[in-house]
Formats: sequence, structure tokens, C-alpha cells
Amino acid sequence: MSKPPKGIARFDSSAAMVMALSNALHQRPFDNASQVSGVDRVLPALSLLPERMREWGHAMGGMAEGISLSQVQQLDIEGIARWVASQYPQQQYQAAFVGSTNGAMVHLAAAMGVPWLPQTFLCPVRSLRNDPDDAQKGLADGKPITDALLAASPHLAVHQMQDPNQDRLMLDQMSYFRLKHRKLPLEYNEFLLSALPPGSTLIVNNCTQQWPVTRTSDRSFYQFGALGGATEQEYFNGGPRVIEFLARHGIEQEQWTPPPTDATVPEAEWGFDAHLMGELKKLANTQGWKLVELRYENPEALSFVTAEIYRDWYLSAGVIGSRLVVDNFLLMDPWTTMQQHAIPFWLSFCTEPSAHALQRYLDRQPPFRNIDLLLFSHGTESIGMAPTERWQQLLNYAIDEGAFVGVDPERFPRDFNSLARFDTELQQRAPLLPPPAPLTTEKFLMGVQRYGHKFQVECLPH
Amino acid sequence: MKRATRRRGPNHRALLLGMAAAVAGSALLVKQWRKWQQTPPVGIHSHQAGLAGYYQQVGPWRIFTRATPETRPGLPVVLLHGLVLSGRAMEDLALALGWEYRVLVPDLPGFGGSAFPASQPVLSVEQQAEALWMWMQQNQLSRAIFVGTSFGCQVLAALAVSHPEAVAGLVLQGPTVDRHNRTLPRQIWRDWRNRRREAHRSPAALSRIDYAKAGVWRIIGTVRAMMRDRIEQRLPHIKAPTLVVRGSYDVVTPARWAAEMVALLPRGELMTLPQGTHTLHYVYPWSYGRAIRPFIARVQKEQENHE
Repeated sequence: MSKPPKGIARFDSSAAMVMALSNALHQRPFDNASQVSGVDRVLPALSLLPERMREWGHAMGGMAEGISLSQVQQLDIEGIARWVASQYPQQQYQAAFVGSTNGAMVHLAAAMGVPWLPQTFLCPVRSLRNDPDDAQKGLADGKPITDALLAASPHLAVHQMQDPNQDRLMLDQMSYFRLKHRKLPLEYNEFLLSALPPGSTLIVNNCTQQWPVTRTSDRSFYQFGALGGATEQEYFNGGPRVIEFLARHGIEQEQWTPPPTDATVPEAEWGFDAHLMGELKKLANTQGWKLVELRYENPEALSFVTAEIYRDWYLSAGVIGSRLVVDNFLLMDPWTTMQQHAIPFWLSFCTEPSAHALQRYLDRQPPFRNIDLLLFSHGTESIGMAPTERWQQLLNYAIDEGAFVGVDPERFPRDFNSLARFDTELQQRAPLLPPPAPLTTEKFLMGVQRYGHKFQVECLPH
Repeated sequence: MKRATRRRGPNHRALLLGMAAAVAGSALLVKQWRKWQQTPPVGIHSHQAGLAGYYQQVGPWRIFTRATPETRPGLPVVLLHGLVLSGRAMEDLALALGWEYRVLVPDLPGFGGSAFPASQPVLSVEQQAEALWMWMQQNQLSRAIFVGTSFGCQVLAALAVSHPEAVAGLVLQGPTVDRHNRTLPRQIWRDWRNRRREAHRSPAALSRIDYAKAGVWRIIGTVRAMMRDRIEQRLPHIKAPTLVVRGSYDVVTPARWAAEMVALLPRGELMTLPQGTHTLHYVYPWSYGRAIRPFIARVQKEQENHE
């Protein structure tokens, strides 16, 4: 595994999902989610420390990924794109995904044995005197960094992101900048041209999730809050849960005071910036590729469709999917899931809306014999976080056994060791068998057309 | 009691060890050099992708040519390599263009698969162009579209002037030698800077093989021939439509030089590939192939109308 260049965070959804998919295409388990072998050895020891020390260790681990302002000025966009493309086997594919980050899409790509090139990546910048709850200061402090990122490439959209609810541990030492390619980097272009012969399918993963922002230039935005446990209303106007949350953290204010918003743009982490679409259409047209757009709003909508497609895929191979693996954020292992003939259901985070999505899914399905649940620890009792009791209630849907995998319910949401442990434990949950023959593009498209309308997932040919 | 006497004077042991290391190093280098010389002229992946190769006796030279598997209608596209290299570095480009065109990649006499003993004379740019013309005759090609890179552009310019009927269209990618900096140290310095920019997908491993096949004296002789050649004097006489391509990060062919060349060409046009480097055909073959395809299609159409 090659070390990524400076400027892309490995602890982020985008880079981690690239690695999860790359491992699946190489037919390997994703047993190194932290992507740093030394960290995996340190994490068990870290989990023995008191709560405050664990939080500190977690934040320090994240900070090691951050870059300085001078490094931002020399950000190697092509180098990052090259690192992403080089993770996948150099061969020809029946299709490729480009666009939004989404765990359910990663499972689809793994079943089809095809790569995905993310539009978005996280560039964390070290900033030691941060106050996660002071949005005005965050916006002002982020200005020189935003300017440097805009200067680094004329084809990037810069989304500064400040979420004091879910990212507050990391935000103490870092500022988050999510960068979206508005034009294909040369390395992406080269990879797609060499990997897709004429007649292949280019699938644009278009998550239309939006968020209100403060526009700071034509290509840069400041986003306060993010999709998760708290609502937009709570981030901008407060509420009883916000008052309780701030009081718990010793903050003498009743609500956050973010700068006024003046635009609604694609959500920084999951949303798709449509500026890329024109170029993809042109590319597909000249290369003789079919271009298909997968469009949905809520990132978890695709999880329902993916689960149905997986069920059919297993059935066509004579296997009844009676095992469910519930992924959480970046905790996922597509290769092991396929080997266990388990149906994947990806949740974007460990929050109540995600738990509700899982409940909706379980209510509509014939009961599973086994449910394995992965839970990501983000280190703080954030607003809207679903407690372990709630997850246990969902695990009780299983006929034989519902279990937390790789996470200690007592320590959640501070069980940082789960990053190193989840895959080993997941592999031990069921026998590992050869997965069915790869899902064909036709079956994938038929599946999306068949189940998509029920879950507001559209499949649009171009 | 007798004291042991120590021998005074220079310590020869270190010298002997140094000499032994130098001899062993040289022996290893010679062994490796011979291994490079015996490397097959077509890469294994390209061979699996269907790229075939054949030898032909063309006049006094034995020339090696790579060819794409399918026969396609229209004019063939001929790719020509750069200084001391061979068509081996252009295999991916050949495969990329091979989806639509018949592509041929010859090695110029003295290089790559067409290497010959050091006792044979070094060919000038004009002689290389003449050899290419003879190679066309041998392959029953009356007319073709040529895609040259770096020094290959100088040979193609000479061919287009001496045999205009043979050249339907020209793509000159990263043409040398910038007339404002025609000194060896500056060219070496620029080449070194370019290599640093291409370090992630360096053609160095292939270059070493081609250097070994060409031999030291032929390298030196061809560099001299390249530096003496004045491509700018030929450009005004090229009648074929010509596309000059440069990567925006190409330091060997600066933007000013490329623009100057286009101004000298009667039917010249310029294309800049953003973020591209000098060895575009090897580092970004698919993007480069896609970029020049519309030009090749236009020349093909012109030819059809002409017929």
C-alpha cells in the first residue's frame, strides 16, 4: 500500500472508501482501515487509557494527517489523483464510477469488480488555536487557507466545513477543507481512458444532497454543520438539544452563531458538484462509452437499493442472503461481506436518523438470521447520536444472533480501537466462501431501475 | 624482549579493495548492459494486448516495426520515437490510437529493435529521414499520418520536406531543439528538470534498455546530429497540415519555442495539454491520444475528399 501524498486525509470517508474498494478489487480484506500499520498496534493500548487521554490520542492521530499553510500552497492535486487511481488494478473494466462518496456505491462497485474515482477529498489543515463553536472566527481564520487552495488549482471547489457537533474533537487542532474536482484531473482522465474500452459504462454517482452555506468566492464556500444527528434548524437557530449539548461542554452560550448563509450548494462531504458533468458527458461521447447517472438525495437512499441488488445477485448464484452486515461511515469491508454472502447496508454515521433508516429497512425485510453491526467511534456524545441501547434494539431483529462487531458498547463512542479491530472480528463472524461471479452492468442497471423508484434513486441514461 | 616492528609506508590494502570493487562493479554493469541489450523489443503487456512486431531488411538496415493487430480503413498512423529511444515507449499510444487506426511504430536504424554494431556509421537527420522513406516503400505505404516526439520531430520535418507526397499530416509533440537554447548543457539541464516532473511514471527504465541497444558512440554521435540540425529552417517548407503539441509542464519545449514553430509552419496549429510533460506519449499516452484524435480524423477526411 503506497503512502498517500500530503493533503489527503486517510481518516476521511473518501480516502478510506477508495482503499476499501481497492482491497476488494485486489481480492483482499480491508483489514487496515487506519491505513498506517503502526497505528493499528498502538490503538489497543490507547483504548486502555482514561477517557480524556483517549480523546487526546484520537485528536493527535488526526492532527498527524493535517498539513500547514505553506504545504497548502504546494498542494499536489495531480499527485493525489494519481495516488487514488494507482490503488486500483491496471486492467480494463466493464464500467467505472465517478463522483460522490458513498458506502453503498462502494459495495456495488465491489460486486461489479469496477473502480470508483471520488470527486471529493478532505484536506485537513493544522490550526492550533481553533474554537469549534466560534463560527465567525473559523470563517475568518480559514480565509488565507481557502485563498491558497483556490490558487493551487483553478479547477477545484473549496468547501470549508465546521461541524462543532460531530467533528469537535478534531476541530480543536484542525480546519477541514473538502475539495471537489470541477474538472477531471489529468491522472483521472488517463486512468479512465486506459481502463474503459469503447462500449463500457461510465456511472456518475450524483448525490444531490445540499446544505446552506456562506459563499466566499465563486469557487469557495463556508459550511457550518453537516449531515448527521443534528438538523439544519438546530445548527442555525439552536434548540433544546443544542442548549443541553453546549452546557455539557461548558460553553456559555445557548446556540451557535454561524455567519448568514447566502447560497445552497452540494453538501461538502457527500454532495456532487455538477460542474464535472459536462466534461464527463463529452468524454463518454468521444470514447463511445454509455453514460449513466445515478441520482439520489439522501446518501443512505442508495443503501436500500444496494441491499436489494445484492439479494438478487446472491439469489441468481443460488444463495439466500440471510446475513446482514451493517456498515458505519468508513467501517466497511466489501470483500469480506461478499465472501460471507452477506447483504451490506451502509449507514452514513452512528446517529438516530441512520438508525431510523436501518429500522425502516429491517421492518420491510424478511428477518435475517444474523446481523453484524459495525459502529464508528467519533469520540463525542454528539447531538442525535444513537446510543448503544438503540443499536441493540435493532440487533434484536435477528433470528439467531445480532452482534456488535469490533466495537465495545461500553466504550462507544470512544472505542477508537474499533478501527483496528473491526475487520478481524468481522472475518470471524462467518465462513469465507468464494463470492458469486461479478455483477454485470446490465444486472446492476436493471436492479436500480427495479428498486430505485421505491427509494428515490433514479437511474438516468445520457 | 623484541618489539614487533610495524611496516611503514602507504597502506595498499584499501587501494586493492577499491580496485577490486571497481572491477566487480564494472563486471556487473557489463552484465546488466548485455541483459538490457537482449530485452525483447515489444513489452509483454503490449504483446498480450495484440501488438505484433516484425523485422525487415530495408536497404542496408534491418528495421524493426510494431503494428496494431486490426486492419483499419484510411491512412495508417506512424509513430516515431525520440532521441536514442525506441518505439517501445510508444506502445500504449499505439494501442490507444489502434482502436480507430492502423498504427505502425518503426525503430529508426541504430536504435531499439533496429540496433546495429557500433562499427556502422552514425546517421544524420537527413539520412534517418531517407531510411524512413525507404521503410515506407518496403511496407507499401505511399502516404501516412506521422506522429513524432522530441527528436523524432526533426526526422519527420526532414521527411516532410524531402518527400512531401508521403506525409498527409504531422503531429509534432515536444519538438526539439529550441533554437534559443541550442547548447548541450542547457538541454541536459532541461531534460533533468523534465525527468523530475515525470518521476512518478519515469521512462528511465525503458531508456536504459534503449541506451544499451544503441551504444555509447551512437548516442554521442546522434546527440551531435540533433544539435546541428536546424528544424526551423525546414518548417516553412512543410506543406502538410501540422499540429504542434506541448504539455504545459514541458521544459524541454518551452511555450515560446512551440509558438514560434507554429508561426513558421504554413499550415501549423498549436495544442497545449494542461499539466502534460515532455514525454507525453509515455506518461499520459491515453490523454495524449485522445487530444490528437480530432486532428488525425480531420486529416483522414481531407485525404478521403482528395481521393
